[in-house]
Amino acid sequence: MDDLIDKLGAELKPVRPLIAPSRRMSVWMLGVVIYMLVIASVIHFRADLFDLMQSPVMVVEFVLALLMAFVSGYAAFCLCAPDGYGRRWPVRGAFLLLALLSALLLAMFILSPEPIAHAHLQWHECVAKSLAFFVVPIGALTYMASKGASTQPKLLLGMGILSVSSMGYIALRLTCPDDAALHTVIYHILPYIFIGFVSGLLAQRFLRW
Amino acid sequence: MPLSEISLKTSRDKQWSDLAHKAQQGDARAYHRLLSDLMPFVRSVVAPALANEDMVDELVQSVLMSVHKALPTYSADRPFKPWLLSIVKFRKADLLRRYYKQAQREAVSLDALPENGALYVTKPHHAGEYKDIEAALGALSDKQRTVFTMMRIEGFTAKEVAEKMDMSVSAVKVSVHRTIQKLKEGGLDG
Repeated sequence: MDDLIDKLGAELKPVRPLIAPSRRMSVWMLGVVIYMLVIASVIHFRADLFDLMQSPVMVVEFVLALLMAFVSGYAAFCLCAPDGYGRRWPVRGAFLLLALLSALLLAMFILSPEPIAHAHLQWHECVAKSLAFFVVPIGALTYMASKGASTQPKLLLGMGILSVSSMGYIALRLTCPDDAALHTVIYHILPYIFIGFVSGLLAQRFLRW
Repeated sequence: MPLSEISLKTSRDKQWSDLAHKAQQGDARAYHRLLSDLMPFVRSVVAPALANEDMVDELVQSVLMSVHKALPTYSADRPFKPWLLSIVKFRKADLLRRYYKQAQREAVSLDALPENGALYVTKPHHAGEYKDIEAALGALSDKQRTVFTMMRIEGFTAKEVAEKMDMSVSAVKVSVHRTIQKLKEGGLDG
């Protein structure tokens, strides 16, 4: 054991402590927002964007999704340190917001007069868009997280996926003109669950240390 | 908890925190002291939960190496002990997961064993079943064979073997590990 301590001591080099999670999250989130705006501009924003923002339900939906993106993103960056920076509220907050947003979407789905309308019209496009909004931000988050030493890599990735999915969900709502509840659930949410699951499995190996 | 004990714990945490902070700046002496201080503490935390001394040694080593890798994730404005204990918990789960996985892989169902399994090798028509292993062990150097036989067949601990063979504990472990690798390469892992 003494040999090991000597060896580790000999290998010691000055290291720069990891930057605070709020700052790392801000940098990443700024990148994500710019990236999504560029992609959304290329895809084209929906024509009735201004009218859309007049709907109180839509505003609540956007605010909840945005909050969830920030809180779960912050949780992911906190989880980069072994002790999670001693903060548990971000993970709890993210789950609470997820529950609220799910309840809102469920209510919209149940109360929707024609939930099946246009459900099959744009599925290729929206699934492809989901991928476009998802892959680069989650890759960047995984790379940044790999600089840390997480003792809860699955939870970290879960939070990251939740954050990227929330941002991607907003971006999809801003670009896809179809507001039918069934369409939203099948083509705006399910792809993220599927991609999130697959990418989570793939990304885990990058967080081993 | 008595006040003196609380203050001792707080001062120890503060001391470790300072040492870790200095280590981050490249102070090798502070780092050496930190790791030396952590070793008995980690041992006392993990020992009650593990089955034998070898596992404790392995886990303590693994924790010290993890502390080394995770050093940049510590910041001096946070208490040191929760950071350390998170690593200990993580590495312990890792070790036990590997242990149980291996135990599961190596387990043999009783149904799969022949009747009178204990007498299996003594039956004349099964003579020679273990000749491959004997031959593979015979191909090892005397020292390697002795170390392997003592630790894996006769049940001595790494420390006991190290004392008998006048080697360090880590050298014994490395030797056994290499022997197993050699046996595996010879197709004796099944």
